[in-house]
Amino acid sequence: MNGISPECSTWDAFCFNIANLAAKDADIVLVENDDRLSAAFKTKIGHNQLFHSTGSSANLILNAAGLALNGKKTWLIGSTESIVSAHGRIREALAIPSLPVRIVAANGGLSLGHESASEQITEDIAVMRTIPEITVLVPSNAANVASIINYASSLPSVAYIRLGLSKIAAVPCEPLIEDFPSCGARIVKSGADVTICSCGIMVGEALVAATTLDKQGIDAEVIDCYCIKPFPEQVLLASVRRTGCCVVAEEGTRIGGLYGAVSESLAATCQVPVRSVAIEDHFVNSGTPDELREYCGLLSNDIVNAAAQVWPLRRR
Amino acid sequence: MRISDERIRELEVISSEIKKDIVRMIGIARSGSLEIPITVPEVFVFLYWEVLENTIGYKTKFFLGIPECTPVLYAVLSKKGYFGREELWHFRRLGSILPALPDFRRTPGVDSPCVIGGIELSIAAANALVDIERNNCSISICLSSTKIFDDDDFLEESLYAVRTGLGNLIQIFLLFTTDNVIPNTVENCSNKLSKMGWNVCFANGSNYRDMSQIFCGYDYSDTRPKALFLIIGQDNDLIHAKTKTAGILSSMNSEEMDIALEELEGQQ
Repeated sequence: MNGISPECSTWDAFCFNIANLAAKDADIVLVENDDRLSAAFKTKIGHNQLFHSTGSSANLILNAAGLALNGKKTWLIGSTESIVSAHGRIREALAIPSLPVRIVAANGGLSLGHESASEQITEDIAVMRTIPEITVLVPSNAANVASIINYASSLPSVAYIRLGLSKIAAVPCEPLIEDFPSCGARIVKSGADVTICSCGIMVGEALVAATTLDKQGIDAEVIDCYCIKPFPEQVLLASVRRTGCCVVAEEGTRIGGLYGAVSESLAATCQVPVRSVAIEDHFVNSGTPDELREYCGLLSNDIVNAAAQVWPLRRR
Repeated sequence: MRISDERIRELEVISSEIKKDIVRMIGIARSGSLEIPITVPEVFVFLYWEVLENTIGYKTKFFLGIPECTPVLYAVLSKKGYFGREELWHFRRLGSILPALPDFRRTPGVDSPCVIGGIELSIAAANALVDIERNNCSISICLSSTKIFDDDDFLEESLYAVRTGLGNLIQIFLLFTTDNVIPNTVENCSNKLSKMGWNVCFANGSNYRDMSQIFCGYDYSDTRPKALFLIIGQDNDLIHAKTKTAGILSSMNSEEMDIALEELEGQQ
């Protein structure tokens, strides 16, 4: 983490780490079609390692496919809006032929709050999760990004990595509880009364909520679910079998995202009460990211409220 | 080097056998249209028997951008020995190595995925660029229909190919016509490509000598990407079978397959 602040955005951390990685491996190529995004690493990587795609985002996907076919370690970088709009092409040109392309969405969640609903894509995880054989990753803070990059590099097929532009507090993780990359999730605070399964920026909020809950006599366990697909079912099950209830916190639509993954898993294996702290089924208007998170109910207080509701209903 | 009459006769025999295999594949699968596949085997036979294997010193890669030509590609690959001929009779069947669209991880001899409604040139150009960077002696041949002219990405990608000096890229356009007249849209597009800096040529896609002259004239050390418009006449092929299978949802029954095969025998 030398060279960047531990509280910088996951996008800034990605730019720093990928530039370092590219300096060591000439086969890495970054494909983008947005000068605003590539400006962050343009001067730090070799000229031949940056492929500026022209035309639409569908064309961006096809260019990435061509590079990956010829053995390049391809990182496709774009705005969340442009990536989600190319869903069909991702499916056809990358996922079906199982090409090892890492798709990086720079501005996921509400981090583009000042833009309109057309550019604020809160359903990206849900959309990507439905494409067969794609891995979906969401780092919770800057410190985790390097591990996520290493993990994604080792995958034989398509990986979608959702980043954000907002600065995030570093997550104080209990050391050596879980290996970071191997299981898809890690317990960042252990507890016995309620499981809070979270991802991305909401992991920090979940930890703040856990502190508040502790004062109320509720011992919360916080899971950083950085791999949403394939879903780390065993980590979740081990936790809810102890706690008997679950709160899911994510910066995205409640339909089809982490809440969807948790519900699908628990419905089949361990039926316990579950509550969601996520964006309801509506489009989000313009505002600052912090205002929008408050408006959408994505703060630590909302997690505390959800935990307080679900805790009396727990099943052990 | 001029292609000999004897060689042309050999290629004609091969393409005739491939046409029969295509009719059988589509007939047995009871799925797919003959309309396009039956008119283009000469192009594929020329590419696979004259270009892909005889371009000395260069490795060639083939990018198929016309999904309807998939049966032709399979029949050609089978004939070239990439897999057994009996596999053709399992075209589009569950578990077959020959699905409706070529799967480069599954089907031997297939170099790239085939995208529906996308610009295959975008895949081929990125691939060709890597070969240039690595100093690989490699040629990327991309086959598309003229429908892609309607896509804005096509001109962007064409410009990119010129800017990056992709002399190892050959973009072949199949131009289907019944009266050998080149439509204005195609003429305009070829002019645009030419002005951009592409090496643009036209040839008869059913005439081996014509195609051979073009390929013999290519200089792969020239950095200009190459665009070849192959005119595909549709006046001497299977009238019955094509009429019966025109449209995406129709398919041949066994009786129609027999008629189509008889028509092909009659043409020899």
